[in-house]
Amino acid sequence: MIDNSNPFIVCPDCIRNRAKLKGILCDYFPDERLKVNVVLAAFDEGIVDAIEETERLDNMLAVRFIKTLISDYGITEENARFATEYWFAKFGEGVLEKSNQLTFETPKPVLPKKHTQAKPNVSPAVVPTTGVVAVKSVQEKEKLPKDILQRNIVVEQQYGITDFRCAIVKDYVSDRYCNFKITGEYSGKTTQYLLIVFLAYNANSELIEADFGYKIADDFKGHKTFSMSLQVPNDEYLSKIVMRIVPDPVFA
Amino acid sequence: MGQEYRTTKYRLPDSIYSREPDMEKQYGIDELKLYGYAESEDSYHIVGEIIAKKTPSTSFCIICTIYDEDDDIIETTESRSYGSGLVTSMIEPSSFFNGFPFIFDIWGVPRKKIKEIRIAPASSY
Repeated sequence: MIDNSNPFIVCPDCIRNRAKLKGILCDYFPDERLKVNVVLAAFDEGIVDAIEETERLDNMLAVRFIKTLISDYGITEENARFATEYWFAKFGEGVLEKSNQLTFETPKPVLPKKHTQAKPNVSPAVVPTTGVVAVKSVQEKEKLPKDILQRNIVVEQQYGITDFRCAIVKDYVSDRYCNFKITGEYSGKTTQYLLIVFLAYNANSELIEADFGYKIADDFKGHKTFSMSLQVPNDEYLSKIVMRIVPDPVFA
Repeated sequence: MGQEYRTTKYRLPDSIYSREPDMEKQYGIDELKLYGYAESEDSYHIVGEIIAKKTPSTSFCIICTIYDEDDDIIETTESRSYGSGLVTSMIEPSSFFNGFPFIFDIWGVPRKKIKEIRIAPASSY
């Protein structure tokens, strides 16, 4: 009898195919993107090969992956443990029938807190685990959570901009950095040339990128779409992205 | 401000920057916060934030000058321009807000040749 609770048994192809894996994980965790992402992160780190090659599934192997997920992806310890243990149980034990000798309990994934600025009372070079998004942990074409964006709607309206909305999606990735594409739309009526400014901040609340290259005409009226971008290092963390409207300095 | 959380390993050290505090004061700048990293072996992306509680009274721009170990200038550039079409690198009081951004994109300068990166305001470029 097929174990329908095990995606690696229901869809064996997903073990070697990331796209299929992501698809089936989304089916198993339809409202829990966090679980999908942490399990995918473990996949990206080569947990399939490691499980296949090991004699037994023990704490030593688990700790290796947990540490990597924490340090390289900014994933919390609880979530890193969940991802590792999920692979051990569903793939190692469930598919390969290896002996699972893990001795710690499987925790429930911890939902990310609202994106706020980092607390200052932490020692230097600490990996942030809450309140930020590890750039590395965001998959290509994946959207950043909506609450990472901060706006001042009152000021937007003062400049005549209404119904502003946008999505921020991880676009292409280079060796050291990647681009987030910001696409959106707005309505309104303006009487002066304006710039849309996007500002990205890291876990230390330092400004690490800005885009101030989009202009709104002084006679704009109606509805328009726009596209902008932010380049950030792959190994950074994002605490917030701020959107502002300012008068275009060319016409000041 | 000390670095509290991990940041990019390609980050340029704070010690590489030099500034002109007197000139900053002259333009009403309280502080310049800088964040730069190496995009490759010879290209750099430097992002700055202008801290000024009171809006500066005159327009200005930010200039980046790179010196080698002989104190010779090996690169100089104004910050990335604002807007599209008709653009400017000048920062105008009417556009300014506390934390106003500026960016330098620098290419073709090997890291080992850089002794100092000077970031300073100027009246024109």
